[in-house]
Amino acid sequence: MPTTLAIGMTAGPIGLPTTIGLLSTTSLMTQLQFESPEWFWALAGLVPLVLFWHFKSYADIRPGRRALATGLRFLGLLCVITALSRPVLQLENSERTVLFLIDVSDSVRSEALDAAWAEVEAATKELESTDRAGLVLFGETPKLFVAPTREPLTLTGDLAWQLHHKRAEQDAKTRIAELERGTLDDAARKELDELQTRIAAIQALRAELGTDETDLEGALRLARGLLPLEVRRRVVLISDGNSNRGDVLRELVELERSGVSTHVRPLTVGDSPEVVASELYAPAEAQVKSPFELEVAFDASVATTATVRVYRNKYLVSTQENVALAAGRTLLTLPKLRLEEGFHEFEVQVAPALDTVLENNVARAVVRVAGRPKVLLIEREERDARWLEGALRGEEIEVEVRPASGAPASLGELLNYDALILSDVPASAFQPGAMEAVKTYVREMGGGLIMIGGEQSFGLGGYYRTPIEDALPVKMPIKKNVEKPNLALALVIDKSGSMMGHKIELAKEAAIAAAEVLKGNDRFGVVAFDGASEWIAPMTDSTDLGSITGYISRLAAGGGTNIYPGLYDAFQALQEEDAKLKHIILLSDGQTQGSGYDTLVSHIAADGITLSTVGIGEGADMRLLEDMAQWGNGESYFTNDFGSIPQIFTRETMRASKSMLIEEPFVPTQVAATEILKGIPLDDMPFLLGYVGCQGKDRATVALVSDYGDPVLAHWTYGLGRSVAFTSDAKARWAADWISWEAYPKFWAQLVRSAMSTGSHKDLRTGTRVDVKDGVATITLDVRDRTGSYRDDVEPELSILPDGDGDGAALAVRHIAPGLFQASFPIERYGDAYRVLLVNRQEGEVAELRAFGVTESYSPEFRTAAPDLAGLALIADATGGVVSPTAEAVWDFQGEPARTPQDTWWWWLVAAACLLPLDIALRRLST
Amino acid sequence: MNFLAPLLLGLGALAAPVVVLYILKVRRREVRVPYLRLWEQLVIDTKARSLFKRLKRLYSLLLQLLILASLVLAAAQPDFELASSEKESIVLLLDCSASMHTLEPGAEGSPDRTRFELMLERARTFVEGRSREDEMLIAAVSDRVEVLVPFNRSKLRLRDAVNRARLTKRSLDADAALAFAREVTADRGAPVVLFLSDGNAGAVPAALAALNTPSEGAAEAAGSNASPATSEALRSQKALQASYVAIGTTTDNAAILRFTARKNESLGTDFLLAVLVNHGSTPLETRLELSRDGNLIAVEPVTLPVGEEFTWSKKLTLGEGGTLRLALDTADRFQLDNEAFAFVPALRQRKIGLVVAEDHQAEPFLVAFQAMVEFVSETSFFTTAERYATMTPERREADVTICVGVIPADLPTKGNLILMDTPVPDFLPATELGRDNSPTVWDWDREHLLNRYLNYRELPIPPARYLRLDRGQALVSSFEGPIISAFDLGDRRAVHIGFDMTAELFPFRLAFPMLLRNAVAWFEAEEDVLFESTYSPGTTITPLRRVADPAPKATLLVDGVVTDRPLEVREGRFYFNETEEPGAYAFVIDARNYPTTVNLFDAAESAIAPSLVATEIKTGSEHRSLFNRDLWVILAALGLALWTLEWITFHRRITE
Repeated sequence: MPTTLAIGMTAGPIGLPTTIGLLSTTSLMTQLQFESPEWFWALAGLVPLVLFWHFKSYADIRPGRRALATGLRFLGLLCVITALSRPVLQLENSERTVLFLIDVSDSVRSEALDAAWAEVEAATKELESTDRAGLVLFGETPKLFVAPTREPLTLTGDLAWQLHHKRAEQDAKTRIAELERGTLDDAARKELDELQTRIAAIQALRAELGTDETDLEGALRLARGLLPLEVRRRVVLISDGNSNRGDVLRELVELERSGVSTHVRPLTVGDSPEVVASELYAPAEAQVKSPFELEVAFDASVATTATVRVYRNKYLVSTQENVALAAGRTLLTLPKLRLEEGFHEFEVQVAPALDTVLENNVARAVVRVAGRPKVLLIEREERDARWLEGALRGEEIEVEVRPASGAPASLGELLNYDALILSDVPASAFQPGAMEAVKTYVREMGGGLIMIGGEQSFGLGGYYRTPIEDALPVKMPIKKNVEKPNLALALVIDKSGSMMGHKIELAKEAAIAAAEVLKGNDRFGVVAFDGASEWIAPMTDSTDLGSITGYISRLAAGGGTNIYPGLYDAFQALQEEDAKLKHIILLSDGQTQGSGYDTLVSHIAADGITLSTVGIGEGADMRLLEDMAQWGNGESYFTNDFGSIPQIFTRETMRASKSMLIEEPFVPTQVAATEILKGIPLDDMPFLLGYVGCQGKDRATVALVSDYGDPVLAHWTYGLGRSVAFTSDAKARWAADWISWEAYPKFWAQLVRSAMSTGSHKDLRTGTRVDVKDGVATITLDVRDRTGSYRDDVEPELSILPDGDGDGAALAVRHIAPGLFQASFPIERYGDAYRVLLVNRQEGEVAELRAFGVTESYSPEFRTAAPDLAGLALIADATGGVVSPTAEAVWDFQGEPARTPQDTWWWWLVAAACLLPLDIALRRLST
Repeated sequence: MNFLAPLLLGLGALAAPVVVLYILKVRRREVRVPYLRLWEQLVIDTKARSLFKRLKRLYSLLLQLLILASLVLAAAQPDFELASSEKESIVLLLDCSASMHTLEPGAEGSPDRTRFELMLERARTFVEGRSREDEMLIAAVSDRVEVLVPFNRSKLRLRDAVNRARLTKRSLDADAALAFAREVTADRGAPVVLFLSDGNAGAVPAALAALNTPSEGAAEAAGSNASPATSEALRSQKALQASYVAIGTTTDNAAILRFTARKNESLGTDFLLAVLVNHGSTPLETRLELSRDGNLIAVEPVTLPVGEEFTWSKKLTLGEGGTLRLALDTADRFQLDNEAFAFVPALRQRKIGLVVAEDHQAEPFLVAFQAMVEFVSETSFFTTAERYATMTPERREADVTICVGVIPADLPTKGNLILMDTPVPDFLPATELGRDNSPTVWDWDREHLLNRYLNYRELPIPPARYLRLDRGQALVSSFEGPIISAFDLGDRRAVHIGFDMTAELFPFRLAFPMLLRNAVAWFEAEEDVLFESTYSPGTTITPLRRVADPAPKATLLVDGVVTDRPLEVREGRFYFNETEEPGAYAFVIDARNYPTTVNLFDAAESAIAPSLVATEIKTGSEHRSLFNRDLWVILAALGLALWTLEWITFHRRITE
């Protein structure tokens, strides 16, 4: 064949040509490549040497022959040098290798594999001598089952059950069941053993291939590595395309680059009806006995009906028959649930009338029910708390009971509770600043506050004008709508030199406050004393508050301390008053002069006048003051907190006036709807025997009132928290009939729950998200504070809790972005429930502690039953393959032919060896 | 020694003609001379040297035979290896990951070289030293496996494959590489794996150790660096001879392991976070340089403790957004991890349409909008239902339409809705059941985006409509039913609030801006998030959802150079794989810019100290020398030399 030669060269590492291309007229390229072209450098030395001795020869040889000898010698040396440069001839070849990759993951149906395998057999039935076919089966892991061979691929031997492992396992199990139903003779036992061995082998194979997932990337990558280089190469991918591991896009780039075309053969089986339980929506966390809903989403390819069963912790809890499922998505809301504390694993199973794949008919979720809410109940006498405590405990509310002396002292203490209940606890039980902490607890931290009535509650407890009154939905001074006996009140105030400054100012404030809480027909006067006594505000009507305030403002401190004159003046003045109730409040901070107090007070008491005493500071003569209060049938108070003087005065005034204490039987009347009374049989409500008079605040919801219209039950939202006022009591005094009422526990549980903390008092708010991909669950924590700012100063710890006792397995937490933290753990088995504990620390202190569950209902293999045709088409398109190739198309290669390298160095040595005798002969035989 | 082509020894027969040529007496050439006496002395001399002349002929013959023997023996391919030695299937894995950019100090006077260059040198040694019968597969490994040459004996191809290896800026997935090696040698005898790497912070030797000892104790042997997946997988595998060859010696490096920016839409604040590490032996005092769109905006000194992760955070307000670059000012030998990129989206203004029943109802909203100028665009409008009917459809279109107390006719079909105290329109899958005159919040979905930062317990809820939802989500429920609900209607989203939030002005001022921002975040959530905020080098980027734009384009900003790339869309998706370089990337889709970044962010790559626990090399290739491998070359070269020598001696008449 006439050949026109064109020479092309490619430069090697040292500048010499490594490739010489010989282009024939038929456009077929044959390439000669040199592995060690550096040997050609030897020519640079040899050619001059040969030529030099050609011209400077002493040999007895004719010039013509010499030239011929030189030529032969040059040719021989060139042959040797060429051999040393390792020439490789790239020979075209027509060899073809096709690797069949078959997806045998669990999502692939045996019927689809039957049809696909028939095509594989057809494509490999009559292989030409230059063709080879290989087989890889894959799920999560690819395995070479048949190395490229010239033999046709047939479903013989183990390959039959390996390809159809699901069907083989099912057949084996069915046969075992048949055998076990019959008589087990030796043959049957032998068959049984074989079948069990087969099942074990199948399960081992499934584990080896990881059939519960699909990794197309891994399969294609292995194929690319297995295909030999010097032949025409192709992959035929037989799959449903639903890859749930790896990134097939990455492999496409490599396939494209290496020139391996990929035909795809989608695995489909007609239009099979399919129902998937896609999601089970459930709160990650719920509170004990708090109702919540479960919602399950079904995706159906056709409209059908189904039976839906709900299991909780493996036990069937509900069944719904004939649930209509529309084509597309159907959301089904399950009845509300109330759960006990702990982790609850829910499983919703759907049994559709029309369905194909069973593995995806279950949806799972884990709900963690947080521990019981905890409240702090302060009762004046601890023993009186038993009825309320029992009722709340019976309703799953944890209660800590303390006497009045155990009133919380700090905000930090309060934050341990979801609500604070004050039952008949006086304001004086609180340490200085503690009431402000209660207010902050409710307003800023979202805590709950409940005040229950009693002789020491509300105004009677001295809460008038206190931070706690601010937080409550009621005001302490009662509305003037209750007729009560009038009161004549005389304040006897120490104005000695030791009272100078802050104390005398607080005394004035206290005197004015006392006047404010009096009613219109009450009388009021103030007498001050040092060494002598002086009427600061003569006895006058309490309505003349302006004059009283003016008088009191003139009070100034100075001089010694002698109680007697002042007390005597007050006694005298009250004797002249025509009031049903007469009361003296004595305030002193020092040791008094004089004597005869016992006589004086006994006269006072004899005239029906009561006397209460208030001692301020360590210098006060408390022994005398206490005796005087006892003699005078009154109360004795001592305080080092000068700020509490006004509360003591108002409380004492209210107590003396008896204006806030209404002790008569009544049945409360509902005047507004409230969640507290939801489901409470109001018609059966028993009598209450008394209450403390208060006045509802403007924004408060007053739900129950007395016969006088006074609030009995009021609540409101205060800042971030809520507070409730129940002005009657919860014990055997006023609520004697209530404590045996069957709705008593429910009423109090609902009341307390309505006020309980929303959790908003927590500074940290951590959102959690769980994503499952490639068999790994990733937990993302979004940590913010109450303003929404991302928080990076926390140290979240995540651990997987064991089923029983013991420490959890800690997860490595990474800080991935502002406020975002992440941890991962492998899902060992689909359907398992994992209990995760989150501990958020700030500066080493635990700031948040939560637990939640993680579960993945089933393998992503079953997420969708439809093949990913678009994805498969993309693979074919990107690599120059076709979709659903015919048997002929499998072996139809376009483009450049494959080439096989052929070592030729020894050819050149042979040529050189043959030239040598010629060379010798030319010289030896010449004349 | 044996011969791979013994038949060629038959060429030795060529010695026969050579010998014959020397046995034959050479016929004298007749030469005429003018005066015979002058040649007498020459004849005498010739006779005197006849012994030498005989010997010269013998020397010549011997030399010729030696040349012939060299060539024939070379052609017959002599080999010292035992014929019974098993041929090996060698998988040579070349670590082409980012850490191989590390510069290693050269020997005295020689320039520094990267680990990659050192590795290639070592790889070439393996290729040259391999047995002729061994088959070798060479793969470049990083986050993927690139087969440079499948199993092959051609030295040319193997050498070419090594030359084609390219250094990448990607992470190393040693597990995937070894799994590939294991599978690809599954049907081959004597499989051997050689992994040339710096160890990837111990992961490579650990995984290899597990590969060499596939037993229950493999995981322990592998140490903590082998992933559980690897250990588990390897337990079930047959033993494979695997060796790790440690490349490099440099250890010190400071790195940015993470750099992210998060905009808090509700606060309008951008939060930055960087995690740094110092793999040096002393605390490193350095500076962090933060720039936005190429302009330096902050320089902060930092002291990085030894070995521990150091977290740096910063709060900024970057309303207009941009691309941030954080650079660590240090001159270590691995520079790739000294800079990182992040982007912050611009605060976007939205067109809000407010439709009220009466004009006065708009006042609280307008006051709120005044405080949200960065959020509410100037094109926003408010109107009554009556006037709304007279507006053009274009004017009515808004990102969010808020209806208070009234549903106007001709609501636009696009845009999201907030319906406040309105009847339930037909297009919402819900029914109004009644009005709760004293609603108390019983529960609310605290996890939903719409309820973020909102505490409904602190909001005094006025009388509210409650619904029965056919579809949609109850966000806030009173005892009677949902009073705030969210609806995903496919092409738009809607929120129905059963009450008028303006009934209580103070909580409204606090809660409404939160609610509006949350609602917009929910409305736009799926539209905005088309890409991850950062990708690893080499990742193929594809949008998270299908795009409508048939001709989007990618913009790359790498090393200050902006490059545009058209993108081919197939069925709403495109696949962009030119992501080798860390930097800022953006995709322009439907005329809107979607930025993203590419960063290394790989702790194992930044821990450049090579794992020096190199495993024992199990293949014989390392120990074979050029001498015993290619004996024919020696013989052929000897033949070449002798033949050349013979040419000289012939012309000098030393031989004949």
